[in-house]
Amino acid sequence: MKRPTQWQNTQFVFIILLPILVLVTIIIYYPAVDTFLTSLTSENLRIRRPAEFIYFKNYIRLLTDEEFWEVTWRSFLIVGIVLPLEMLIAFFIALLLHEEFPGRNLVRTLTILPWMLPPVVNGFLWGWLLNGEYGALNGFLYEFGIITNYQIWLRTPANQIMWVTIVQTWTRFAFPTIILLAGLQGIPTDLYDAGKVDGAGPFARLRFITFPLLLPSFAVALVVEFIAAFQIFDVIWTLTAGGSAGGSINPFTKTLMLYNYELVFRDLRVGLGAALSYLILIMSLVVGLFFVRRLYNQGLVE
Amino acid sequence: MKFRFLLGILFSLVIALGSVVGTADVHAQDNTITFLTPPWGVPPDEEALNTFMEESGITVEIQSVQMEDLFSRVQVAAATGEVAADVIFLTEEAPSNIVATGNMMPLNDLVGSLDIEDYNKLDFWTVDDQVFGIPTYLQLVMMDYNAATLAEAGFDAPPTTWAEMVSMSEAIREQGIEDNPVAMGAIDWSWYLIALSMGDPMFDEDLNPVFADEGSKGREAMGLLLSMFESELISPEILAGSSTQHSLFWSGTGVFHQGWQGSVRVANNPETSQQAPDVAYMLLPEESFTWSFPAGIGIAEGSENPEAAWEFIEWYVGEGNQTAIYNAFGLIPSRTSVQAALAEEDLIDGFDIIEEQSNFVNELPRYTLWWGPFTDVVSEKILEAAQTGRDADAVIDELAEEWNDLREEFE
Repeated sequence: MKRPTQWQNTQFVFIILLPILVLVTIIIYYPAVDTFLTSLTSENLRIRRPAEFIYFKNYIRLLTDEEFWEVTWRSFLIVGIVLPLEMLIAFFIALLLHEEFPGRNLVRTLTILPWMLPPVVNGFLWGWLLNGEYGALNGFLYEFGIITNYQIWLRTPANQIMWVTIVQTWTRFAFPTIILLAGLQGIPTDLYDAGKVDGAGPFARLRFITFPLLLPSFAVALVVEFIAAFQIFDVIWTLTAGGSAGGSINPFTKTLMLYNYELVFRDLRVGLGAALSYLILIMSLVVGLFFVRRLYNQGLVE
Repeated sequence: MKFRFLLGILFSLVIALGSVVGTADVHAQDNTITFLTPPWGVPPDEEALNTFMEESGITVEIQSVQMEDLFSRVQVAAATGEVAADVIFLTEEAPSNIVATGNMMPLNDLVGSLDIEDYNKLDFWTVDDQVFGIPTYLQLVMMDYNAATLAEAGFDAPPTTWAEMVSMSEAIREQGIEDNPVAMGAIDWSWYLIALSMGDPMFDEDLNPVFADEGSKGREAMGLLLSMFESELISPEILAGSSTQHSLFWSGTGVFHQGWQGSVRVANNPETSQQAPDVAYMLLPEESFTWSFPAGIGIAEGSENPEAAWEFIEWYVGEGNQTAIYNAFGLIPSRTSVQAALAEEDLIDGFDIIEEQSNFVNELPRYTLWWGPFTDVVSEKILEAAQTGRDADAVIDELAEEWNDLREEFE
């Protein structure tokens, strides 16, 4: 029987991939191109007149808008708090779960639990816990004599940001834990044995063996978690976004994604919202590439 | 190799066919209509709805969504040339968000089948002589209060001025009865309510924002509202964003509450409110003006089945469903005959005050295209100012500027 040629193999692979390529083009690339073209127009669904082609005016408007920089700064602030917190917690939990102990599998499953809950559920859950009138946190602390009066935990803008970062960390820390645990399991035990022979203590082995070899795992976790924190929406929406303000959005926890929602779905300024989507994409790409190039590649070299 | 090639083509065809079939219109059945509504527009009497569907042969698919999602669904669907639903529940923000934008069908040719004189507030849904909605319930923004708590503090009647309400609230707090006696939101409504009842017209005939005039009542109202947040006469929990003034009041916090026509029915229900059974309406202080926010129901422009949609609307605004809605949510029926029947049985709590309050209505220009974005900004500015202690006059100046900018953009 004749073996298929290279050209026939290529043809076969192409035919197999064709439906997927068509679907990806229809579902992802076509909307992406269309969104970019929309971002160059004045399209506003509330105004019933044809959209005008306005070149890069939407981008200029956003980049010269005080609110854009305010929400961008706030998004990076949340990332700046959430990422180190998440990575630190995930790293230590991964180290613990890597050790042999009875009931390890059960503990591993329990650790993943918050990640399995949808962020919306987590947001509402924490909203009830933190409620100043009937929240469980107040009841718990009061019963144990830690507080003498019920506290309104989400009262100030600074507190609102703090709790958003805590809830986001709680919601997401399991994912980097799993990634780092997988990375730990891939480190050959020979290296640790060699380290012990060379007189390296536990901290030195962590510093010079575990940590460098985990850098690619850290890079993957950081990229995914950066995107999750940078594009945070559900947790804020359910915890602090609307509340008593009904259709309006709490300006103190407004991040880029909420701003984008506000522009596109509330104000129906589709052109401006599309431009903001592209700015968010560019920022995500730049930071994502930085993590990959610096950490992933560095880890592979080491 | 030929077999593999054919297998590949077959695989591609299956996937492509699957995609096409998956996106096919599954609602292409003749007598099925869709009804897009916020949760409180869902007919509460499920049995009655089922009977309607059996008798008429019309299947009604109900899509219950949050209000802000309802508007964006309608707009986004329209932008893609689709219809979000056949029948749409119209809330008080609908005139700006989906009527003025041309998403609703005029009903002038259909309303003849109704006893239209029986329906109040039809004018709210009429633009340039075109009727876009049939009123379902009536609403006024009102205030209610806990009469027992007020009596405990030594007051036998509700306040007649805002200053009096503040002094009563301070006395209630000083006596240790209630720390946060005022239940109002950090939202647009609180400001409109105080400003209108103080006698500010808010806008003149040419839609200029007279609330920003030097020494206006609108400025005074904003100052009063922000001061109540600063002194915590209004609970700081409101600023936390996790509670509304209603849920706070019903959970037992507050004496004076921003309510609506029908709110007393909810507040005096011991199953839903810790304030029960002592809540009563009060006429708004000073000039007593308020605004209305009635609801309606209409047919979406481009509906493929307007006849069935209309038949459903006729049932929806009928006596049975209006009574069921009142029983479930305390929302006052739009039909005079249904109101009269309920009043006769003494089923409408505080009917006399409701009647008196309805003499003082000063409508806000919610039919303008830019009202929706404006009112969202008002809420954001109030929340921001209440959190940061900003000057009320600066907030008012910014709101007037915002109004003028939006008007220029949309007109």
